[in-house]
Amino acid sequence: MPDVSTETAIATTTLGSATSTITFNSIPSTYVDLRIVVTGTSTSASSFQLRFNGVSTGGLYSSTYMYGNGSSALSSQRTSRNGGIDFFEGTLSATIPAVSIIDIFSYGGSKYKTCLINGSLDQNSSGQTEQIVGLWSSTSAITTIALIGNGTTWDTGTTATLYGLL
Amino acid sequence: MPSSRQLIASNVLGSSTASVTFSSIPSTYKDLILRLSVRNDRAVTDGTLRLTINGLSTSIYSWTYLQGNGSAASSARSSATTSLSDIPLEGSSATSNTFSSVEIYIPSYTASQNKPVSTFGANETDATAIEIKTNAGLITSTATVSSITLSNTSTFQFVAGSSFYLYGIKSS
Amino acid sequence: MAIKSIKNKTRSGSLLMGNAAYIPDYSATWLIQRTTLTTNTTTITFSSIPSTYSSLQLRILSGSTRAASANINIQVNSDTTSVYRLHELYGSGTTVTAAGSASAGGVTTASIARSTGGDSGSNIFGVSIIDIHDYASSTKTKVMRSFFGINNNALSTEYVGLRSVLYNGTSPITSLTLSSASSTNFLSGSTFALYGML
Repeated sequence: MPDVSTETAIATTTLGSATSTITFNSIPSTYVDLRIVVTGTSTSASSFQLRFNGVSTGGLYSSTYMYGNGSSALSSQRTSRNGGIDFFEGTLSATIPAVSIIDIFSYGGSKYKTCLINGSLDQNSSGQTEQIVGLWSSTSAITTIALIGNGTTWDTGTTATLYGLL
Repeated sequence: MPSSRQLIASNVLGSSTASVTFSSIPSTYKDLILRLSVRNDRAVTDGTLRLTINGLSTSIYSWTYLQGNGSAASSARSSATTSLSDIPLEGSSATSNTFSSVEIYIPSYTASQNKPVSTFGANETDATAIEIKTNAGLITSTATVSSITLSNTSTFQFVAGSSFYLYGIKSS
Repeated sequence: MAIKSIKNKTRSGSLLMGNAAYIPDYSATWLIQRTTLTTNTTTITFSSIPSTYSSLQLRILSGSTRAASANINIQVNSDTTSVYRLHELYGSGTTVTAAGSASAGGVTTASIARSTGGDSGSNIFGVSIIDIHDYASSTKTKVMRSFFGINNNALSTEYVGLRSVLYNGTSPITSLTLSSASSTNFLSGSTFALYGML
């Protein structure tokens, strides 16, 4: 059987004004894995979450992360979170964009949903590099993904693109 | 349907060279990815390659890294330097025929904003001490990235067999 | 008949106008093979790997029959000699550890990632992305680089980590064998996908 071409852009958005939530709706079930690349700034510092299917109760999100902040190598975790999987654990800047690459495995499968996140937030004398594994404890297929500023907003110019992988 | 990832250009060295440049990068993609397998002639195990864009060698590059050296984890940063650096590059003291494995992601390379850069790389060798590293980089330039140069420190050179692949990622 | 035009990167499939245009596929990422287990399985082998790409990527979603999480071991071309070297950097949620295989001359297999075990429950699998550049080279040793993770909402030990494995041999990679450490099995439902990149 010939090899199959994969990795297709599904949707992309670039903000024309600040908003607290970027949402990908009606995600097709065609693919196996998903990838999101978000490049953004924020005037209100940190706390961003990855939320699936609008679920924001039940303590169904958790994560383990490892990061370097320019002086120390550190690790921490978040358990039983309601709002989503935390990412951009470091502080975003209002003027210097950061990038997170989010890989979501088997988003239509019957297991709980696990993702890997690689974040880069250097701000020329501050910032961090972070690696995160996140979990949504639900067997539901993912049909909607929201990138949420928890008490904050994504600035104008922030971009987010959703890819499907076969 | 064609993949969103497309190969723009590649270079596999047939002989030693000080630097490799990808020029005239089309502006039709959303992001860029470099995948490298590289080694140079510096007599160390763990060296570093340098990345600059658009021929710019002013103090517009900075980074923060997280590293494991086979026995200890550490983090450090560098600010306002003349190239993006601390990117794993295998030197001539490493195990023979072994080249570092590196991926560099440059998102939104045509946007009129400063450029974040994400790097993950490893120098491997048949010894305890190595370098596995992630690096959050920043290029303080709002210009579109139209060329990327990968180079060595001092007078060192990439050796034959070093490979450089540049991909563009489409968003639609 | 001569090609009418390729300025728009199209040409007629049979060089006759009116036929559907031929649009070259410049895709760089290709799925070579995906295996999803329907029973618990000891090893997974990707064989007859084509040499036509510049690099390979493995994407794994896996659990094991081990009581706790288990290493995923990797072998190249069924080589079981002492030619592997492993190094890692990982966070557990409280500490960051850097370590490596200590044996001079390498070991007979190397652990490139981790699967969940029974202590994560039945619904959680570990995930990993593994890259191998220049796998088809006949002059380079093979360096494998992985980003992997296990999160189970603190049910048991968690990992977010980076690993690199050296296969100290210059033969082109034609097969990769993955096995679950400690003589355990991969769980039914585990998925292993091999991609080639141009």
